[in-house]
Amino acid sequence: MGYNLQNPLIVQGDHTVLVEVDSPRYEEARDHLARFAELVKSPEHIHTYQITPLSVWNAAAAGMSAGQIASILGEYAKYDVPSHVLTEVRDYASRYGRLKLHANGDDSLQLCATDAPLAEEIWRSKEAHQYLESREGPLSFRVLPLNRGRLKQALIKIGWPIEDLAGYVEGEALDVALRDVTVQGLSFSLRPYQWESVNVFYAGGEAAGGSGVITLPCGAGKTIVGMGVMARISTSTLILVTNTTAVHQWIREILDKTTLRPDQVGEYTGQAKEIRPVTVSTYQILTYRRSREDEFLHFGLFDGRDWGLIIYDEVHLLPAPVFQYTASIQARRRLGLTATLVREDGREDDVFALIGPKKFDVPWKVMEGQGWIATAVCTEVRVPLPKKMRMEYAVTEPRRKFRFASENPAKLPVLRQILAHHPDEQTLIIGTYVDHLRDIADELQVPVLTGKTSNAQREELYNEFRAGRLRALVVSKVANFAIDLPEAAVAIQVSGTFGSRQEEAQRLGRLLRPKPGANQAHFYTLTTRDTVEHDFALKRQLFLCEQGYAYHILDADDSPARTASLLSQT
Amino acid sequence: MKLFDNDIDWPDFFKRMPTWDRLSPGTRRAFAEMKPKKPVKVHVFGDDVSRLVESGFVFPCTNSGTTKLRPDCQSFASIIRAMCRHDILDDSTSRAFCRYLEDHFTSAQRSALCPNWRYSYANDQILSRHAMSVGWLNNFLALESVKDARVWEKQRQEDYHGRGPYHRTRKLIFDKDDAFEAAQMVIRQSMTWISPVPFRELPDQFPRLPLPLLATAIFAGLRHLLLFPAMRWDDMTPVLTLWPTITQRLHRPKPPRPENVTPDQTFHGAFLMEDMTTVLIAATAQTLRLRSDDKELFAKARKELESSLMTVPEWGTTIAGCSTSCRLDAALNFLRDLHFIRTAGTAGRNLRIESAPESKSWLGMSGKDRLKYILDQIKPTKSPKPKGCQPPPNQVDDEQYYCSDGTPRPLFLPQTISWKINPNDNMSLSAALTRTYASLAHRQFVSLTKFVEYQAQQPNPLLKDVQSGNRMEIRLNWSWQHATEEDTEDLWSQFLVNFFRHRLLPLGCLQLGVVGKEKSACIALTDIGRYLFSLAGDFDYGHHHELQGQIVVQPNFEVVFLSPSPLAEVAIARFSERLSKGTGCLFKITRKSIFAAAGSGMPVAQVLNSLREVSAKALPGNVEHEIKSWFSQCKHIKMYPVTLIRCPDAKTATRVMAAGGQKITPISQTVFQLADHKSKTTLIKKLKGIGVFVVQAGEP
Repeated sequence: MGYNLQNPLIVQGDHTVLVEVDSPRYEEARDHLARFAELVKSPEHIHTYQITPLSVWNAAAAGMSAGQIASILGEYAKYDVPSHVLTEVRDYASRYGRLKLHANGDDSLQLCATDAPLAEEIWRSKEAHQYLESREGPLSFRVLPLNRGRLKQALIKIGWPIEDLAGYVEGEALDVALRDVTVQGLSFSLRPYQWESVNVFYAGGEAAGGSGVITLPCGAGKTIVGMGVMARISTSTLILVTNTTAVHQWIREILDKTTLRPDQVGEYTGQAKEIRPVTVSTYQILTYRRSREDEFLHFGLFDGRDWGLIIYDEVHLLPAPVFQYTASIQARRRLGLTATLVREDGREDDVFALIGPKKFDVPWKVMEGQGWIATAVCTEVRVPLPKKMRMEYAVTEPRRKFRFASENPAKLPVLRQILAHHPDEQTLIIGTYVDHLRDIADELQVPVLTGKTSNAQREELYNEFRAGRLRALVVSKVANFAIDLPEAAVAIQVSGTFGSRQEEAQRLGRLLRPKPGANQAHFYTLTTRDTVEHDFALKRQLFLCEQGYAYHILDADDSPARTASLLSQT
Repeated sequence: MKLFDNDIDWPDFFKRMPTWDRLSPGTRRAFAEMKPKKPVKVHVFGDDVSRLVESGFVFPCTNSGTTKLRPDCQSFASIIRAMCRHDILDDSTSRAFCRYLEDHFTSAQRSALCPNWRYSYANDQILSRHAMSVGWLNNFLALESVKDARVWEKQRQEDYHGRGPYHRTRKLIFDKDDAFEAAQMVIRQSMTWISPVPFRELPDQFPRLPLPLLATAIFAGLRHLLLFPAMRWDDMTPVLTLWPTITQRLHRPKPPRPENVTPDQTFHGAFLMEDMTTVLIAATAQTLRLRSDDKELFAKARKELESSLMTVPEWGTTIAGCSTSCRLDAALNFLRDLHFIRTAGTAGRNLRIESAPESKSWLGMSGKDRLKYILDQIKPTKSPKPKGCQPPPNQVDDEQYYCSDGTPRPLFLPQTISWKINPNDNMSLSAALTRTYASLAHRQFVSLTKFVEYQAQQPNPLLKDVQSGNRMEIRLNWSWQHATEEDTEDLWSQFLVNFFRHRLLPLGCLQLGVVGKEKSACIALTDIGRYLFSLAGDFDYGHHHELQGQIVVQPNFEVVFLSPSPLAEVAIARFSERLSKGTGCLFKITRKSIFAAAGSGMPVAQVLNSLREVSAKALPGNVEHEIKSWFSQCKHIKMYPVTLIRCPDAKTATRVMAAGGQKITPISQTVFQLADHKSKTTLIKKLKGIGVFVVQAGEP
C-alpha cells in the first residue's frame, strides 16, 4: 500500500475525494480535480469532491482522458486509489465520444456509433429508438432535427452521452459590443476569468463549443459573462431569467455596458410583450398557462425571432416545461449560467444533455482570495422564546410551530443590536412571513418590500438603497434571486423557509458583490432557541459550513450588553 | 442380476465374443436392450438376424416377426446389460463407484471387502476410496504366495461380523493353484494399459493363459474390485479396465513447475488484521450483545459489522471463498485466540463481547505493527513474544482438528481439515507448508491452480506418513479411516488451498491476481509472506508511525481521518455516527449520537476533551457550541406508574383522604394518586368498609 503524506487527496471507495486544504500541494490538486469532479462541500480544512458519470463526461467533453484523470488521482493521492474507482472512471470516460451527432446534408442529422454492439444497443433501446428516424448503416442512424434534444436526453438516461457536433444556426446578426466606459461613466472591462469563460464557451465558433454551462459563484458577474458571450457571437439573443426584477436588472446592465440601444432590447413579461433583437423574459411567463390542460401560451417566444443564442440564467432553476421546449431548439447556441450545478430535483443530467456540459468553473475561494467577491462571516444568534410564550409554543399545533418560533418578538431587540453594531453598513433584513416583516419595518421605521410591492415601487426602493439613501431595507422572499444590490454588506435573516439550502445560498449571495475597504460581508441568522426553528437552522448551518463560510453561534441572553459584547467578538 | 451370481458363465462370454464382434453396433445396442423371455421384433436387428440365430443368441423368427433370447445366452446377455448399466468410462467418480458396488455386490459382500475396517453405514464410500487407489492394487500384488492369497481371499469372503454362511460355503477362486498367479499377471499387465482393452483382445494380450484360466483370473479381478468391465458406447465394444481414475493416475504426466504470469488485476491487503481492528473497535466503543441461546452476535450487529469490514474486490472474494460472514467469524476467532476479546455477562443478563485490556496496546499500534504482532503469534518458529501477549488458548476443536496428545492447535495451521497425525508432526507440517509457499519467487505471479497441482504431486509430509507405515487416519463421514496415498494428495492440495485462503491471503502474505478471460487466480509472495516464513526480518505495510493521528474535526461536524488511528476511532465512535472506516470521513457528530452518549452517562467534558485530544486543528467553535447546547438539553426525569383515584365530589374526596391517610397524595380537590401498588387492595377494602366502592377504569 503506497502513501504520501505531502499529498492532499484521499480517494474513497464511494467515489468521493477528500482534499486537505492545508497541504502544500492543495491548490494545484484542486485545479486539476475541479476539471473532473464536482465540489460537494468545502468546510474549513477538508473539501469533498464527488466523481460522477456527469463530472467525468464534463471532463471528457473538455478533452480530458481517463488516463489523465487516473494519473492526477495517483499523483496527488495520499494512499493508493481504490482500483474500482479507476475502473469506473475509465468506464465512464470511455462512454463519452462513442456516440456522435453530425449534420447531414439534407437538413437531417446523423447519429454515429463507434462500434456495432453499441449501435445495436441503442437501436434496441426503447427509450432511444422512438427518436431514431431510420438506420442508415450498421453504425449510423438518421435523426430529425426536432428530436435532437430528446434523443440526447433519452440516451444520457441510459448512460450514453452524445457528443453533439451538429453545429448551430447562426441566427439573426446583431451588431453588439462591450463598452470600455459604461453609460454611467465608469470604466469597464471583463475580468480575466470572465474573458476566459467567454472564450471557452465560444471555442472559436466550432461545433464543439456554443452550448454549455458556466459556473461562477454569486457576485462573480455571471450577467457580465452573458453579455460577453452576446458580444462574441453577435447574434440576436433570448435571455431567460427567474423574475421580473431580474429582467429589469439584465436590461439595465445591457444598456449600461453594451453598445445596444434601448429600442434593441425588449422585455417580455407580464407587463410588456416586446420581442426585440435582445429580449429578456422570465421562466414564469414562459410556463404560464390558464389550466394544467392548456398549452403554454408564450412558448411562441422561442420562435418569435431567429435567435442565435439563448441564455438561461440560474440554470439550476430551469423548470421542466422549459426543458421540454429546449429539447426542440438544439440548433441554437445555449448558455447556462449558475452558481451551482446541483439541482434540488436531481435533473443535472438534463442540464448536461439539453443545455450542454460544464464549460467553465472557478472555485469561490479563489475568487474571494483575488478580491472579486466579498468575504462573508455567518453568525447565528439564538434568541430565547419569552417565558410567557413558551407554554403557548408547547401547545401549538406542530405545523404552526415553525412560524410561531420564526415570529418570536424577542428577535427585535437583537435585530436592533445588530443594526447598531453595523451603523455605517447597508443592511438587508430578510424574512419569510410578511406580517412579521411589516411589524419589524414599522418598529425600525424602514421600508418593506414584498411580493405585493409594485415593480415600479420595487425599482424605486432598490434605487434608493443603491444610492445609499436607504440604510436598511426589509425584504421578503422576492429578493432571494437575481437582485443586484452590491452595496448591501450586512444581511439579517429573521426567518427562512424551513431548512432550504438553496434559499440560504441565494440570500447570502446578495452580499457577495465586492465591497470597498475590507471587502467583508456579514450574514446574520436569528433563530429561536429550543424550537423547531433551531432544528431547521442546524441544516442551514451545516450547509453554510460545507460551503466553507466561517460560522459563529451566539446565544442572545436577556442582557443587551452581553449580546453586544458577543457581537463584537465575531 | 449381479456379475458374480452363480449363473454367470465367463468362459461362455469369451466364446461368444467373436460373434459379437461381427455384429453391427446397431444390432449390439438392440441386443443389449433385450429383456429375458420378452419377445422383440426382429427388424431391430437388421441384417444380423440370421447371424444371431445361427450363433445361438436368439430363437428363430416367429410368424409374428418376433424373437426371444435363448436361455443358454442369458449369462452373456446379463453381462452385456450389466456393462451397459454403468458408464464408468465417462463417469468414474466415487459416486459412480458406489452405484457399481450396489448393483453387483450384496451388502455382506461389500462389508467383507473391508476386512480391516470397522463397519460403517458409509462403508461404500470408504470402500470406494480404497478401491479407487493404486494402493489397492499394490496390496494385492504384494501377496507373495498362493497360501497368502487364499488367506487374503478368505478374509474377504466373510462379512465383518463373522456370519455370512453363504460366503463360507462358497468355493475360493484361488483354490485353483494357477488362478492366483494368473490374476496377478492380468493385474500387472492391466496397469500398463493407458486405455481400456476390448475383451476380444484379451486372449492375445495373455497368450500364455488358456481361456478358462484367463476367464478365472478376470473373474477374480472383478470379484475383488481390481478390474472392471465396461461398454465402449460408440461401437458397443465390451472392454476391461482398471478403475479409470487409477489408470489416469498411473499414466499422468509429471506437472511442470508453474510459469510466471502477468495478472490483469491485483489485490493486496491484510484484511484479516483490518477486520480484527474493525471488530475490536466496535467491541470497545459499543456493546456487542450476544444471543442467550447460541452465544452468537445478533443479526443486526453482525450485519453492521460485516458492512464495515475491509473492501475486497468481488473476484477476490470469489477466489478466496470468504464471504463477509466468514471473515467476521475469522476475525472474532482470532481476537479470541489472541485474548483480545472475551465473552462477558451471563445468558439473559447482558451477555456480550467485551474487549480485554490487552487489546488497547494492540489498537494503539500502527497498522504494520498490528500485523506484525499477529504474524509473530502465528509463526511456527519459536520467536519471542512481545510483552503483554498471552499464549494461544489451550483449546482443541475436535470437530476440526485433532492432535492425539491434546496439545494446543498451532494458530499457524488453518482449522479446516480433519486428520489424526503424530503430534510430533505439527512442526513438520508447518515446516512443509512454509517450504512449499516459500518456494514462490518474490513478487512473481504464478497460477494458483498450477502451483497447487504441482505441489500436490511432490512428496508431501502426509504421504511420507502413509508410506512409512504410520496408520494416518482421516475423518470421513464422522468416523476415522485409514488414508490412502490419493487421500494424502487430496488433503495436501486442500491444505495448501486452505492455508492460502485462511492465512496467507487474509494476512497479506500473498498478493492475489486474476489473469485471462477466465479470471483464473494467480499469486505472488509478498514481503509480509517472506517475514512470516522467516525469509526477511521486516516488511513494509500501511502507514508509518508518524502518520498516526492526523485527524480533523470539521465545522460541518464531520471527523476526517487523514491517516488511520484505531485508538482515536474507539474514542470518537462512542459519541458519533460512523460513516466509513480506515481513512477518510469516518464519523459525523449528530444530535442523536450526542443524546445517545449523554444517555449512557458520558459528560460533555469527556466528549469535548476527546475531540480536542485527537484533532490536529482547533475544535471549530460552532461544533463546540452545538455539542454543549445538545448536552444542555439532556435531562433525566423519573417515570413510574401510579394509581389515580377520581372522586365524584369534594365530600367523597374527604372520606377517601381519611381512609387512605398518608399513602395517597392529592393532585386536585377530587383526584388523588396512590404510588404504592401494594396498598391498593388494602385501600379498596377500607373504602368498601366505609361505603365507597371502587369502579375500575373502563367499567360503567
